[in-house]
Amino acid sequence: MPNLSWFFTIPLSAALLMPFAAKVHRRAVDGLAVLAGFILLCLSLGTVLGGVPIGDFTAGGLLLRADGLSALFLLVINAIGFACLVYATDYLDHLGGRAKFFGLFLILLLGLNGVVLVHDLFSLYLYMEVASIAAYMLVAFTLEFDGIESALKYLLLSVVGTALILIAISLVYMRLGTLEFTAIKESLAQGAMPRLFLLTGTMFVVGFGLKAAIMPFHAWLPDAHPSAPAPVSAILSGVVIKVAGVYSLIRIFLGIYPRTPQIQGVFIILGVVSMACGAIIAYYQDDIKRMLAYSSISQIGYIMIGLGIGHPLAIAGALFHILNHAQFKSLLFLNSGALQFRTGTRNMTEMGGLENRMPVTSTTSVFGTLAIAGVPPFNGFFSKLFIILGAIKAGYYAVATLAAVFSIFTLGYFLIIQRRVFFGKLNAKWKDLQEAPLAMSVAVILLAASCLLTGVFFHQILSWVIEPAAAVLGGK
Amino acid sequence: MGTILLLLLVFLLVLAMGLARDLLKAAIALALASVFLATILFLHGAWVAAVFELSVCSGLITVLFVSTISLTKDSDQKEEAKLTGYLLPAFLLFFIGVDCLALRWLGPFFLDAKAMVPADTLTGGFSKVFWGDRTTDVLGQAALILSGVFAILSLFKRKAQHHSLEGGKHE
Amino acid sequence: MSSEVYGLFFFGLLTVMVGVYLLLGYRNLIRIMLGVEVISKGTTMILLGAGLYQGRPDFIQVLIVTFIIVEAILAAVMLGIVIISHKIHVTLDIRRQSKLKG
Repeated sequence: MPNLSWFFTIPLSAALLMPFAAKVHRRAVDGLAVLAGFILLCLSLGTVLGGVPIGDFTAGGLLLRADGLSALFLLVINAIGFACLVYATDYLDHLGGRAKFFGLFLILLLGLNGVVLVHDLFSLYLYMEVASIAAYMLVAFTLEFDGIESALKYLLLSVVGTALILIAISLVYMRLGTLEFTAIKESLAQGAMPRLFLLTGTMFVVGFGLKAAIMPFHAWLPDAHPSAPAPVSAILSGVVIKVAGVYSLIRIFLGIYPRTPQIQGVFIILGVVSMACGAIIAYYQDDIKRMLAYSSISQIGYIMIGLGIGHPLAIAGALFHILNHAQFKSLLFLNSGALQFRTGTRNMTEMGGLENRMPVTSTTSVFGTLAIAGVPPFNGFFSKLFIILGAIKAGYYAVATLAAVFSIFTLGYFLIIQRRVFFGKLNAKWKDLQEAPLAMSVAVILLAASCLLTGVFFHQILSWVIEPAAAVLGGK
Repeated sequence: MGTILLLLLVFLLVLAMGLARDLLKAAIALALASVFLATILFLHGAWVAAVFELSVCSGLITVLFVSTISLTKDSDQKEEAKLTGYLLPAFLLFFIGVDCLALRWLGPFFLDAKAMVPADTLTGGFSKVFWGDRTTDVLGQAALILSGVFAILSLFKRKAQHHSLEGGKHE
Repeated sequence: MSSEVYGLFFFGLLTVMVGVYLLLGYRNLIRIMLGVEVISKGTTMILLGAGLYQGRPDFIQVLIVTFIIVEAILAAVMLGIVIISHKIHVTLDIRRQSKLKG
């Protein structure tokens, strides 16, 4: 009978077996990784659809808890993780050390799963560190100049964030004597502690903001995402920043701390700044992955806005956008990786007219572009719509207008990308270009299909996944 | 009272680290600071933490730093940014100011420190809490150690099979 | 007891600030890493202070031990990356490595 501990034991055992698999055969490593990813994917679907029990799990001394919010994130983590693992089996042909890569990647997934399954602040910190340390190494994995530099930058900023979070945790413990979520919530419900909120709240926002690359704490992201190998960029942008950063913010500020107008205001302001600046800076990039990185900052802004507004519709939109952004952003990153794999460059001005040479990449990119720009019936449309509607209903007309405007702007610059890279005249350099290898294509096709299906079946997704998550937060 | 003195010592060593011209001296200052911190931990009943602090921080980490320093000795490191060293006292005053303000603001919290929970904590208490209450953390640490192993291996022991992804220079 | 908690918090926070200063103010990668270690020391002090305030050294020392383990692995990975970085371009000067913009 599968249970929550499998989210830990499966990646851990697979990682431990990696060195042995490597001795057997190169492809054994691939098979093991994909198998582990697939099991994790099924487990996460199990938490949503039934088959894996939610609620508390306390066997063996472990203290795990899955609620609606965790289930949503488990789905995000393990589904994207699976796609990236499949993709990596071909992408890694350029790099050595497959077993170590997969080992690190699986531990990254373990850490992320851990973050959403614990119900204690310190364990949250610990599993976040597990994921972060695996991530630093994965960013540096190519052992090239760019990767090493970006990994160091990521590490340094992240460490400052961690310090702030730990200090805040100490203050909470000092004042409340416990670090367990529901216990904290109950203590706080008994009496307001404005100073504690203000101080720890600020530290948590800054600390987790650094992890989530919300502006103005985003400095590491535009370097880390391009320099990392494509499957790492995909999972970083699509999953890690959301789990380590946004999930923690949601859990703390919407689930544990009482909601105050100040916090909501802070979320909205940070969100608007990220949304606007991220989009504008993205527009000026030539490096495709850098552009995608800034676009991630922008989309996280949308999510923060939705969370800050507080209206149930907006929160549902934000949660839905977390799910959707994970899908289309990782799709776009994986495709950019395919482009880099074949052409050897990330500079979009050097590409052009590739649609005939790389039809799968081109078509799936179109899917991704339409999704991120919010064109129906793709998933992005619905999540952005809900956020904007929520803003209007709550009276934030200016924010709603800005969100709509930047949506159109996003559509604009993504279409420019499509045109530059895929349409137009074929740059003579690329006339013998091949499509991306099989595994990479399979992964992106799966993601593209899910973007479309999540959009078309948004109603089911809402009731199965989003509403239970929002209910945890006291939403509709 | 002893604690305050020790804390001062730790802090002075930290300052020494910032001002030391020689990296090796800075690393030794770190090790000494860890020793004093371990003493503080010991004095307050955190035996196991004290042992870890000693063996890991003043031991292992210092060894790592010293190895790194000697492995990178031939770097063309120009003279260190002296400006940062000179500015440190000024910033220090600023930090102390911020610190005092912060603690005064938090003041009410410090008034009623609870009495220490007595004795059995000093012996079997650690094991029970570590392995029993916080088993989830133990699992996390196991994963962490594994990830560290993979990281070090992938940094230093890679088969020669990697060539640059970018065919030539990009951008 | 109270005064010691106060002292721990005071010096702990101060140490963290100095650590951040070291991290941001210096160019040599190794000094920057030392800054990270200083931050860890400060955090340990603050954790201890919080634990003493609650009067539960057993609980807090478990957290501190876990924290130390995390820091050790982090230091190993950090320094590993620094060594590799050195192999690639021999300088440890972080300003030379500003090919990447913010």
